[in-house]
Amino acid sequence: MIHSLRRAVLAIVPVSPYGSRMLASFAVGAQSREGVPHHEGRLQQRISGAGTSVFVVPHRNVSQYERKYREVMNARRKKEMFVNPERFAKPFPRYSFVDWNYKSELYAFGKRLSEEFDDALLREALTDQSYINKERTKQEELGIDTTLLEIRNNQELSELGAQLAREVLSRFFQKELPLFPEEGHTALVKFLTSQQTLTEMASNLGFRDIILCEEYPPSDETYTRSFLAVIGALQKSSGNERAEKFVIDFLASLLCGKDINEIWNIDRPWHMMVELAKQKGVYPVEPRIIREAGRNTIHAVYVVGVYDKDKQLIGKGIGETLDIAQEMAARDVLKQFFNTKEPMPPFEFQSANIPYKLVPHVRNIHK
Amino acid sequence: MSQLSLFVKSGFVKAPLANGIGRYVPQCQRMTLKFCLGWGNSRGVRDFIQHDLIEFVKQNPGTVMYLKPRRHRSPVLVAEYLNGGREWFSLNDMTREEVYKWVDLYRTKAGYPDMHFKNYQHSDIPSIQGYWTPFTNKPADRNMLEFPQNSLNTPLNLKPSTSEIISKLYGEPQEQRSSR
Repeated sequence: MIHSLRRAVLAIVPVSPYGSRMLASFAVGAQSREGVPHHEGRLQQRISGAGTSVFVVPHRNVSQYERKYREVMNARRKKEMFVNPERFAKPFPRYSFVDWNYKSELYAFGKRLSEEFDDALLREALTDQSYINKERTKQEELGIDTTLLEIRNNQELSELGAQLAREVLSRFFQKELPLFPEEGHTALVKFLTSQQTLTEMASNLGFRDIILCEEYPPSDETYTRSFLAVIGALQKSSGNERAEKFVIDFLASLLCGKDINEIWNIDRPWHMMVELAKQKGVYPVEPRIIREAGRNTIHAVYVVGVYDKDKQLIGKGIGETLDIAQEMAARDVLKQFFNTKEPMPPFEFQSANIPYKLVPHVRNIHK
Repeated sequence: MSQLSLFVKSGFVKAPLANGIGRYVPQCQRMTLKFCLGWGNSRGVRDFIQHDLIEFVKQNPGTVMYLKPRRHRSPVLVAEYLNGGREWFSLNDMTREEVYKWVDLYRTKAGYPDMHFKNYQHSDIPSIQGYWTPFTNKPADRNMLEFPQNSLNTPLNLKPSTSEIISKLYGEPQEQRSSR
C-alpha cells in the first residue's frame, strides 16, 4: 500500500500561495496510514481546508534517492518472503495468540447473545467439516487411531436451523403483513436467509474467531452454515420459544430502515394490480395524466393517477416517460392494497428480554 | 474536535446490525490487560485487578477478560470488538479509579474508529415524502384556476410602493385645492 503510493510522486497545483504543498503531503500521509485501497482516481480528489484548495495529480516519476532505497527494500522483502513465508500470511488468526481461551470465548458468546447454550451443542454448531479433516490428518501423521476421534460437524444442525429460521420468519410476516401476498413473504424470507445477509450477521456477531475451520478468515459458506447451526443448537438447548425469539430479534430486525417493497421485485406491476382490482371489485381501473411538464424535453415529468370504477383516485406515480409513470402508479396502488405504503408502522419485535443496560456515553454538546 | 481535520474521519452515528431493535448485544468481545507485576506504573492496574475485576467481569459476562503479566513494560488495555475493530490504550501511571473509568469506556464502545460526528442524530431514510417533482407542495386550489392569473403573475416579494403606504396611513388623497 505505502509502496504503491510512493511511486506516485505528486504534482501540486497551488491555488493559494501559502501552505498548499504542506497540506497535500499531509493528506497523502493520512491515506497511506489508514490503509485505503489505492487507485488512480482516489488521489485525484480535491482537498480543501483553511482557505486553501489543492488538486493532487499522480505522476509515475521516482526520484533518484527514492529508487535506491526502494530497490534495497524490495530485495529484502523478497528474501524474507522466500525464507519465512508464514510471516506474510496475514491476517493472523486470533486463536493463535497466547491470550486465548476457547471455553471462555464460548461462554461469553452465549452470554453476549443473552442465551443459554448447551456447551457440546454449541461446539458442534461451530465445527466445520474442514476442521475435522485437518484434525484427522494431523492424528494420522502422528500414528494415532482416528476411529476414536468423535467430532461432529455442523451440517445437521445447520439444516435444522435453516428450516426453523424459514418457518419462524414466514409466520412472522404472515402476522405482521397479512395483506402482503405469499410470493412477497417468500421473497422477504429468502432475503433474510440469504448467504449475504447471514454472512454479514455472523461476521458482526464475533463468529470469525470461534468458528473451527481450516481457512481464516472463514468463507461465506462457513459463516452461513455456522450461524444457522447456532440457531439449531439453540433450539436443541433451550427449546423452540427461545429459538424463535432469537430468529426474530436478530434476523427480522434487519428489515428496520429497509423498504420491503424494494426487496420483492414485481415483474409486471400493472398486470398484478389489474388482477387484484378485479378481485376487490374496483375494476375497471383507468390511468390518467394528472400533471405533466416539459414534454419532448430532457427534463420531462409526468404524474399519472390511477382511478377506480367510481372515478376515485387510488394511487399515483411519477416518471420521466408515460410508461414509467404508469408503472410507478401501479406499484403505488399495490402498496395501498398490501398496506405497505411508506411510512409504515414498525414491526413488533419481541424485545422483552434485554438483560443488558445500555449505558450512554454522550457528551453534552452544548457546553 | 475540528471538522476540518485531515486525520480524524468524519461521519454519522451508526449501530451495527440494527443493534438494540431486536435485542441489545454488547459489542466489546474481549479485553486484554497487559501489566507488570513489579513496576510502579502498573500500580493502578494491579489495584484494579485485585479489587474491582471480579465484580466487573460478573457484571459483563459477554466480555472475555484476559490478564497478561509481562515484565518491565508499561500497562496497556487492548479491547477487541465484534465488528473486528481493535483499540489499544495505555494505562500508564493511572490510579485504580482512572483504570476503572477507561476500562468501562472501552467496554461500551462499538469498535468503530473515533470520528468527528457531523450530527448527533442520524436517519438512513431522511425523507418520507417521496420523489420531488415541480408539482410537489403546490397548493391544491391551483387545480381549479384558469391561467393566466394576475394575482400569480406578480412577484411574491414585491414591497408596497410609497404612495400605497401613505394612502394606507392617511387615507385616500383628497382632491387638490386650487392654488392661490
